[in-house]
Amino acid sequence: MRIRFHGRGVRRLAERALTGPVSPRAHRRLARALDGSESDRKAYHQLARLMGQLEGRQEEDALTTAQRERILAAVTPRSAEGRPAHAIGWPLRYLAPVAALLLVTLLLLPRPEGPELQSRGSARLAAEGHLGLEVTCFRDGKPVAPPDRTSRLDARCRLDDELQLTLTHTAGFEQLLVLGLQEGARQEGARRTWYFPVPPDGRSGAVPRDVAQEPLGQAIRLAVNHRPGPLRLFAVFSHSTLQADQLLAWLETIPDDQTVNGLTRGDVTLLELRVMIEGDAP
Amino acid sequence: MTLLLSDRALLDAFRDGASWAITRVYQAYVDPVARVLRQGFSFMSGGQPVRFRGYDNSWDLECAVQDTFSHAFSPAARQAYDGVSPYGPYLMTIARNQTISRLRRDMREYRRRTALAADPPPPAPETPEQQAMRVQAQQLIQAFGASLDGVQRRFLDLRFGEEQNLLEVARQLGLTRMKARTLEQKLRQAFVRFLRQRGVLGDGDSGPPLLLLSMGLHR
Repeated sequence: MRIRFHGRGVRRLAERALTGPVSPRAHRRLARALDGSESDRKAYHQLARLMGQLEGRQEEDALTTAQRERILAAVTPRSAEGRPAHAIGWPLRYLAPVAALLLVTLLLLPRPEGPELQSRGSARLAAEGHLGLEVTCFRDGKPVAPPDRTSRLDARCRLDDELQLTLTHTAGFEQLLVLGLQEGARQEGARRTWYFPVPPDGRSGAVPRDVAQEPLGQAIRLAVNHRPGPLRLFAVFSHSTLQADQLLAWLETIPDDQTVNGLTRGDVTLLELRVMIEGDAP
Repeated sequence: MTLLLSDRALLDAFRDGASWAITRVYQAYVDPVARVLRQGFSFMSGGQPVRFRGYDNSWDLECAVQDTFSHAFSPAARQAYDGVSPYGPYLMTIARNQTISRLRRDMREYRRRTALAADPPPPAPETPEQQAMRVQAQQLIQAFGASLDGVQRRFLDLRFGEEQNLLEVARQLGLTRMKARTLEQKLRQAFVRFLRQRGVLGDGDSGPPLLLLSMGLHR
């Protein structure tokens, strides 16, 4: 058995496509290469069959896991096209409904003094890739059903639940910072919780790329660092390192009752998730 | 399958475009759709019965499955589903129509043109070459398994041998879901490297030939 692609480039693209998520751009390149070459299509088929056999799929018509997941990511409506508040991440597909997601598209420049917000219409994410963050609470190892669709909440948890973030990112950003603020937390000395990167160091960290609904970091127990009440999670995607102070300074300018999901400055995009934590304060 | 008929909340969420509902519908129907597109079907064209023999390679199949679900999950198609008839036939009709449209569009392309035939397809038992390739593939996979450490091998056994879901595999191996997911992807990548190192996978014509004997795979 010999599997031969015409060139290294198409071989690498095929390998990536059959081993994990790829960006829409990479997939388009692969499609152009395969549509133009019978022998590359044959090589792709042979490699896919081998991957399928590795996964225990004996049938010729069985798609590999990577193929299935890529198709699912491609056919699931994006947030900008009306993605709903509630979603099940496919890594969690055997569990239960997951909390909602608020997707985005606006851009923002990392200028602390320049909070000019652009409209979603100027977004480039819809064309360049997919960006999303979901939150799920787990209780006794099982996902908690998300709130009703009419709710503005993305998840309703109890103290001592575990909170898991799930990331979709094929938009080409380099950095991510995820910070949680509890009600009134923007004031001095209020409660802030870091979710990414971990451990926190006051600035953003490298964001996983070309992932589709993959868990972001480990689940966090809602214990000592959390209190009952609303929790707002802010995820900031950027192309360069972002200081947490920049995010906080910007959030200071926005009223508590205004959702900031989708707000943007320059090349920075912000997602927001809202969680209600229930329970008795310690 | 009465997935959307038996669960009105799912149906409502599906029509609304909720990703969790779309995921459930996709997972329920992706295999049947892939099977139909792989095995082919008959239809009438110009008053004559014609048979589509099915997509014969993974790339065409993957594209056709995506085309089908892209269309089926569009807002118009979701709203057009009446919620009274079973969803499976509705989806298969979309798969067939998408395929027929694509074939007609690509009629000039030899590969796809020859997928159409006036007669039913001949029975297609596995050829000796296919049998040999299957055996070689099994030997490669065994050799790859032997190269893994205990956790990796156990992961493969649980995930693909016993077909357990990722969460259950993670639980049994004492991993987080993320680590299990990462391990799964790394195993696929390691398999690809394994194939390259043994000359099975390469590019151009200058790569080393596959020497099964040197791999100790032939006895």
